[in-house]
Amino acid sequence: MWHKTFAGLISGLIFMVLVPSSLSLLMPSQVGLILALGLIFALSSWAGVMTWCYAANTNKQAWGRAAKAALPVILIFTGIFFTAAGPTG
Amino acid sequence: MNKTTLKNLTHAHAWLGLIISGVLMIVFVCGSISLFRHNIIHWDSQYHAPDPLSEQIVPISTILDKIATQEHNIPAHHGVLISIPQSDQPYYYTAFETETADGLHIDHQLNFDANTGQLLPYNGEDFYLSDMLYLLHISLLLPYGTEIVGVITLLFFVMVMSGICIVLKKLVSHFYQYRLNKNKDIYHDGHTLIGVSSLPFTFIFALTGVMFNLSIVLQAGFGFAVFKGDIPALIKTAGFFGQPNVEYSGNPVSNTHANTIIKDVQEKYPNHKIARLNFFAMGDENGEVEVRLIEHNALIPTTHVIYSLKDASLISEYHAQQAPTAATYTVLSSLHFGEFGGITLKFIYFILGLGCCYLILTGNLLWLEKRENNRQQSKRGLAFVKAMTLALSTGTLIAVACSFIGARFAPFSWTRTDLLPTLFFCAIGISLLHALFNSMQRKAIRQAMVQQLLAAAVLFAICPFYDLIQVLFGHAPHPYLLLDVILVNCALLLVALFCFSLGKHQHATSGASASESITLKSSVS
Repeated sequence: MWHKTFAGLISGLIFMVLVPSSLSLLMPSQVGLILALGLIFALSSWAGVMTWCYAANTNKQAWGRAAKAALPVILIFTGIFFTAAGPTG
Repeated sequence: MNKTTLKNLTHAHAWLGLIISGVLMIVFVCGSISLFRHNIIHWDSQYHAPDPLSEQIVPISTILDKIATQEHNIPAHHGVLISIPQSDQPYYYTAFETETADGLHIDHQLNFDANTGQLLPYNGEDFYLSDMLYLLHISLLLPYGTEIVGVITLLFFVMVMSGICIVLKKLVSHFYQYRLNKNKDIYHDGHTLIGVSSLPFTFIFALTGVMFNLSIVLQAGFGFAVFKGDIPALIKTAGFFGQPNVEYSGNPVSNTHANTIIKDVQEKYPNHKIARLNFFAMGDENGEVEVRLIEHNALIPTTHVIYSLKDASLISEYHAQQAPTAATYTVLSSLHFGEFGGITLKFIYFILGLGCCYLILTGNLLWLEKRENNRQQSKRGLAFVKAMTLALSTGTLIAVACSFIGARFAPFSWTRTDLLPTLFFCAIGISLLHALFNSMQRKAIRQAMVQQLLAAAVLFAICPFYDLIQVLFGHAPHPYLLLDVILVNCALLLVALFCFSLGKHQHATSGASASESITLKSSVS
C-alpha cells in the first residue's frame, strides 16, 4: 500500500502541476482560463492518477503506471519550457 | 474493468477508508454542524447578548473616532475591520491589529453599542463553540492541521473515485437493492445506496476540500513552472481581490466621510448587504476603505468596492466574475458552503453530511464483518477497529454534547479556547478507552454502545432542559435570538431522542440475541 500511495501521490502531483503549466506556456494569453480549469481538472487528475496506481496488481506495476503518467509530461514540459516564451516573456 | 483490478481497488478502498475514518468523521460531523454556525453563536450567547437595535443608530464615524481616541499604533496596510449593526447583530463589531515597538502584532476585537457608541463588555471570543467546531472541520485544531486535512481529503477523493469504479458495472441494476437478511448485506447495500445517491455532493466536497487545503501546491508549482517564481504575477493573473496598499501621509481627515460612503453604497447596490468595511490608514488623507457587499442567493455573492477616505469618491469596484480563476474558486467555494440556497439547502447539506458519516461507519462495519470470521485476523486488531468505530460514532456524539455543555456552563474565567477543544478530545478519548475495555467480546461491545448512546442522550438533553428551566424562571432571550435558540435546542433534543431510541433498540436486540443463544445452548444440551 505504501508503494502504491507514494507512486500515485508523486506522479499525480507532477501530472497535476505540469499539464496546466505546459498548456499555459503554449497559450500565454489563456493562463487565467487554464488555471481556472486546472482547479477542477488538475486536482481531480491527481486523485485519478492515485486511483490508477492503487488499481495496480503489484507495487512494481504501480511505479510503472506512475512513470507512464509522469515521464511523458516531464519530457513535454521540459521541451516547452526551453522553447516557449510563456506569460513572463 | 477486470476482476483483479476491481479486487485491488476494493482492497485500497477498504484500507484507505479505515485509515482515514477517524479524521474524516470529525471533519464531516463538525462540518455538518458548522453549516449552522451563526445559529449556534446566537444560542451560545443568549444569556449575555447585547440589547436589540433601537431606531436610532450612531453613525460609523463615531465608532472610528472612539477607536482613534484610543491611540493604537495600527499599520496603514493592516485594516480596521468594522461590521455594521444588523438586526441579528445589534452592535458594531471591530477587529484590528496593532504593532508594538518590537514589531509584534497584537489582535484586538472591540464591540460598540449601536445605540450609544459605548464600548460593550460583550466579547465574541467568549462564545467559541461554533468557531471551535469550524476549526475542527478545517484543521482539527492541530499544528499543520490544514495540510493533514488536505491529505485526508485527497485520499477521500481517491475513495470516491475508487468507489465509482467498484460499483460502475452494477450501478443501475443494483441501485435499488437493499437486502435485510444479513448485517453484511445491510451495510453493503446501504453503503452503496447512500454513496451513489450523494455522489455529486461527495465529489464536490472532496474536490473543494483538496482545493482549500492543497491548492497551494498547484499554485506554487504553477508559479515556478510558468511564472518563473513570480508569485505576485500569478496572483494578479488569477484575479483574486487585492487589498489596498496605502501609506500614512500625516494629514488627518474627518471620519464623517465614512457615513457618506455607506449611504452611497446603499444607494448604488440596493440588492446587496454590507458585510463589512475595512479601513486602511484610517483617519488619514491617503486612507481608503474596502466595502464588502454580499448578494443573497448568488453563486458569486461578494462584491468589493474601494472608496477614498479623503473625499468619499469611488476608486474601484471588484467582482470575482472579472477573472475566470477567481470566479471558479468562488463558485466552488459557494458549492462547498451552500450559502446560496438559504436555510433549505443548508438542511439538505446537513443531511448529506450525515450521509457521509453513515458511509464512514458502514465502511468500517463492512471491514469488520469481512474479517471477524477470519481466523488469521489478529483479535487485538479487530478489537481496536471495533473500539475506534464506536468512538467515532457515539464518541463523536458525546464529544459534541460535552462541547455544548462546556459552552453553556463553564464560567467565563475559564478560557473557552482551551477548555472546549480539551473537552472534545477528552470525550472521544474516554469513549475510545471505554470501548477498548469492552471490545474483546461481541456482546460486551454492544453493551458499551448502548451505554455510550444513553450517555450521549443524557448529555444532549442537558442544555435544552437548562434553557427551558431558565425560561420558566423568567429569562426570555432577545427576539432576534429567539428563533436560533429554539432551533438549536430542538436539534439537541432530537439528537438526544435519536440516541435514546437507538440505545433502547440496541439493548432490546442484544437481549433478544442473548435469549436466543441460551435457548440454542439448552436445546443442544
